[in-house]
Amino acid sequence: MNALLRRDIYRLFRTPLLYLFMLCAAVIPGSMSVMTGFEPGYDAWGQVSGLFSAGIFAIAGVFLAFFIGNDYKSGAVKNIFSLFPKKRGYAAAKLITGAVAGIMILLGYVLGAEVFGVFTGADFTSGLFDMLCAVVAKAGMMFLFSGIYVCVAALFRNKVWFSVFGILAVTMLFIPALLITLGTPLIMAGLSIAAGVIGLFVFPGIAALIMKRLDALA
Amino acid sequence: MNAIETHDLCKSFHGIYAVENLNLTVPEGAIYGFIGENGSGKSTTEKLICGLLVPTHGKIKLYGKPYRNPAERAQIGTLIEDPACFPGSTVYQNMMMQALNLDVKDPEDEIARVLDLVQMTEHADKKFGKCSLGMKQRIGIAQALLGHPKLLVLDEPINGLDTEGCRIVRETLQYINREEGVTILITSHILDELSKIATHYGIIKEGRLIQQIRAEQMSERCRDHILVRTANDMKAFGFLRRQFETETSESGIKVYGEPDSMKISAMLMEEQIPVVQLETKRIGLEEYYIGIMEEARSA
Ligand SMILES: Nc1ncnc2c1ncn2[C@@H]1O[C@H](COP(=O)(O)OP(=O)(O)OP(=O)(O)O)[C@@H](O)[C@H]1O
Ligand SMILES: [Mg+2]
Repeated sequence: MNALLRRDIYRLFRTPLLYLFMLCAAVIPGSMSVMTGFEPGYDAWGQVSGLFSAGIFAIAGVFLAFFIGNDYKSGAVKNIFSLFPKKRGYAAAKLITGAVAGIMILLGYVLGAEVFGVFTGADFTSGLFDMLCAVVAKAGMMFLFSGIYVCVAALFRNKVWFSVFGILAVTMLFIPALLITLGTPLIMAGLSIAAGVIGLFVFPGIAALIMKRLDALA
Repeated sequence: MNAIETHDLCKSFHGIYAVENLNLTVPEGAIYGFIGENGSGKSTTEKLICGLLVPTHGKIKLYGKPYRNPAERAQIGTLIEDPACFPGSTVYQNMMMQALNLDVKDPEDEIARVLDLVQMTEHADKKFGKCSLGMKQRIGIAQALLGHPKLLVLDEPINGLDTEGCRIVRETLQYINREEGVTILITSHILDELSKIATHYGIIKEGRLIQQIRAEQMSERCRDHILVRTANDMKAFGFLRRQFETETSESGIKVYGEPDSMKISAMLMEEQIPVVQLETKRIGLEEYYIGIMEEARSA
């Protein structure tokens, strides 16, 4: 898995698509607040901890659909699976890479919100702790979601658009669950990290079971 | 020890068998030429061996162990159909990704080595998608050679290469086979090229292996000869067999070991045997293969 992870991280930061997705995430907070009627009292940190920011999971999912799908479409899986008969390592590497990409996209979102906040003179004094908890919670959740996304992408393989829609559908199902506020931001952060850790151990196995039964080349 | 063994290997796509009860044996150290018509199942077999397709039935062994054994598989270099590269990444980046997969030491040096072997060093910073067909093919071969594999599985590696490219690949394969003992399973429709390097052949037709033969055995079976037909074949045969190694066949008398057909013609004239037909037959891999295919068709 180590070798595969190193390869995926190498590829991740050389994929222009990642930076494009980060940029998309960065402009969301600003454009949303403009669309919903721009107020001088724009709450930069509120944007980050707010409900709408759950949408970055969908963006991260679409990115992962392309990232995995392109492995199949380009035939790069031929180089990988011929060397690695065990699919669990492949899935785990993709899960972690997907989560890293998701966190990068999340950072893009946070940065976008803050920069917009600076321009509009937002209040940066209250709620810093809540905001940090929200970022940690989302980062933890990224691992859980990334695991689910890897399973979907493993099922559709080179059919990237099927993966994209599958992943969006799955995200729709799960986002309401994310919105339920479970206690304080600190508890949320803790629970999300726990969920991420569980996901890290459960989903590569499930994805491997799917991949084992399917031809890598359609 | 056999590098590759398949036992009753089957693969069906939507109920149609692309590979059926295939028993392939590739001995260690061989250059195994795997030949057959379009759609006969060569690529499918190689994909099965490399774990890219799930067999419908049957077993595959690499070096005597189940093919899902990570230690054996870690030593395979492959080029199956098109090179497995990202079109938007550079040649170097694509090489680096495979080097990372393989966990090779000093990846930069290793990449430089294989790119130099296929003479692609100067194109390292080109986007893979912008490379020509032959360049892509060379990159695919370079990828397969990364990290000194023990077993190479190559599907039409010389497809699209120019004369010089073919020569480079041929010499490289021969070199690593001889010096590093690399076993090579290779398919190609360019039988002439293949016959220059192969030590074994497997002929596949409609998913079934119809012949598996060593190169020496084959060259014994397909020797060049002069085919003679006369007005009196009985007499001619009696005469010729005293001078040459001869054999009768449906199409005439085969004379081996005498390259000069004019000489045979003159000798028969002297014996007053009128010659009806005299033809020099050169039998290479191609003629042999066509013969086998015709036999299989009429059987
Ligand atoms: N993914 C697939 N789905 C359905 N049928 C397939 C698939 N892959 C191969 N086949 C079929 O299996 C048969 C064998 O194909 P294969 O690619 O192995 O042939 P080949 O010997 O490599 O031919 P060529 O010389 O043209 O490369 C063909 O009839 C092909 O149509
Ligand atoms: Mg083929």
